[in-house]
Amino acid sequence: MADAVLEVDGLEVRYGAVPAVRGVSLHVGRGEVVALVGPNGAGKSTTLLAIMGAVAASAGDVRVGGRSLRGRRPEQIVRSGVALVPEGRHIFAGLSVAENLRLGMVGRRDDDGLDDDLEWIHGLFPVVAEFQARPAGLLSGGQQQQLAIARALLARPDVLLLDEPSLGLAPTVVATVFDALSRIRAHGVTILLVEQRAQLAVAFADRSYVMNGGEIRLTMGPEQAGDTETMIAAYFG
Amino acid sequence: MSGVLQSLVDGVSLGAVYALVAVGLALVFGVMRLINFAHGELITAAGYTLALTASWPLPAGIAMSVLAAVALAVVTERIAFRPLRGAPPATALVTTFAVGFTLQAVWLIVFGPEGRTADVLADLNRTAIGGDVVIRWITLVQLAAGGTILGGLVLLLNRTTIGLEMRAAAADFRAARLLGVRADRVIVLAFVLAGISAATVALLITASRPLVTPTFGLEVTILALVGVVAGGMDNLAYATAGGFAVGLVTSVFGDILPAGDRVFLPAFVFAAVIVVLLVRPAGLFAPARGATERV
Repeated sequence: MADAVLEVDGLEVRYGAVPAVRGVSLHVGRGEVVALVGPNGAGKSTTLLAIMGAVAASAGDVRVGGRSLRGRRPEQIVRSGVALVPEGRHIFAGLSVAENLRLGMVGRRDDDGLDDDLEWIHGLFPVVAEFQARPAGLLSGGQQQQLAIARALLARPDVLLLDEPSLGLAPTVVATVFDALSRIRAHGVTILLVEQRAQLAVAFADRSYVMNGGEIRLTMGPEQAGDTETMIAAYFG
Repeated sequence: MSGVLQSLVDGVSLGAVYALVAVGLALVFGVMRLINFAHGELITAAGYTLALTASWPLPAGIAMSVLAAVALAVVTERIAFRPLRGAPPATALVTTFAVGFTLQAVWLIVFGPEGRTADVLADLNRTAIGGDVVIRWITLVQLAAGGTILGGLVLLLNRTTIGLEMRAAAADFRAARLLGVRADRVIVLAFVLAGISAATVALLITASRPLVTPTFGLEVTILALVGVVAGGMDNLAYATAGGFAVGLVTSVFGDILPAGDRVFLPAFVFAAVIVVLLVRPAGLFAPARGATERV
C-alpha cells in the first residue's frame, strides 16, 4: 500500500435517498491496472465520478499520492493528477480533433515533456494525428474513443480512470482499444478501469473488484478470468 | 427606392447594436444555460455612468462606464448567480428577474424617474455622407463598434486557450470541467465580456436616445432576447445573428408603419418572431431538426 497512487476509503454516495455507493474501499498501486466490474447500476461509474468530484461523496475519502481530494472540484482534481475518460466519450463534436486534444492539455500541471507526450500519443493513436483538422463529431465511435483516451493522457495523469471504454464498439474496435491500453500500461500509466465486459477486464487487469448494489463483493486476479461461476455468484449474489 | 435604402442603412446600424446585446446574453447563456434578465441593468448602469461623467473627457467617461458595467456584471455573478449554480434552472431564472427588478428600484431611488441626460456622442448625429441616402456618423460608429467587438470576440474564442475553454464549456460544461476547465474562470469571463458589450451598447444608444431612465436597458434587452431566441440560443453566432435581425426588422417596420401605428411596433416584431419559431423551433439560423416531443 505504501506506493498506492490512488486510495479510496469507505466511499459512500447517495442520489437523494438512494445509496449508489456503499462503503467502497480500494487502492491502485503505481503502474497497476485495476478493474471495477459488475452489473448495470452496481455503482462503478458513480465511484469514478465521486473520485473526480463530479458527484458529492456523503462519506469516505479519496487520496491521490497520499493527499486527500475531499471537497475539491473536478478541475482541481484533474490538476491533482487524475484524468477521466468518461462513459460515452464526451468528445466535443463541434471542435476539431486538434482542439479536443488541446483541451486535454488544460488540466496539465506543467508543460514539461509535452512534445514527447504528443509524439507518444500520436504513435499510440495514429488516427488522432491523421485527422487533426477534422471535426471530432465526424470520427467513428472507435476513433472518438481513441481521441478521448488521447485527450485524457495529455493531462499526464498519475492515474487514468476509464469508464466503459468498449461501450458501443464493434469487437474488432474493442481489440484495438485494449491493444492501446496494453501499450499505455507498458508505458507505466496507472489505470482504474470500469468495464461491462467482465471477463475481458478481469483478464486484462492486475486485480479486479466485482461490485454489486454499491458494494465490492469480490476481489479477483487475472488467473480467475475464466471462473465464471464465482463471477456470476458475485454479480447476482 | 432611396427610402428603402435609407431604411436598410438605419436597420443595419440598429441591428449592430442589438447584435451586441444578443452577444452578451448568449455568452452567459452558453456557459451557464441561464437567460440573464438582469443584463439590461448593465446597460442602464453604463448609461447612468455616462450621464454622471458627461463633463469628463470622453475617453475617461467611456472607460468609467465600461468599468461600471463590468463591475456590476462580476458582482451579480459572484453574489447572486454563483451560489445558485447547482440549483434548478427555474430558481436561477427567477433570481435574474429579482436582480433586475432590484437594480431598477435602485436606479429609481438614486436617480429618480425623470432620468439623466448622457449626450456625450450627440455630435455624431451629424451627416457623414449626404445625398438621397443619408449616413450619419453614429451609423458608421455603430457599425465599426459592432464589427470590432464581434470580430474581437471571434478571435478570442477561436485563437486563445481561454476561448477554446469557453467553447467547450458552452458545448458540455460538465465534460469541460472534467478536463480541467476552470468553471469560475470561464463564467466570470463570460460576464466580463457581457459587461463590455453592455457598456458599448449604452454608449451607442445614448447618441440617439440620450435620456437614461431606470428602464433604459430593459427595453433593448427584451427585444434582443427575442432575437436571441428567434436566431437560436444554443449557438453564439445564431443568437447574435438573431439579435441583428430583430434590430433590422424593428428599424424597417418603424419606417414602414404610419406614424400613428408605431405604438404597435413591438407587437409586429413579436408576431414575426412567433411565426419564425412556429416554422423553425430551433431558431431561424439553426439547422432544422426533426420534430421532437417536449412533454
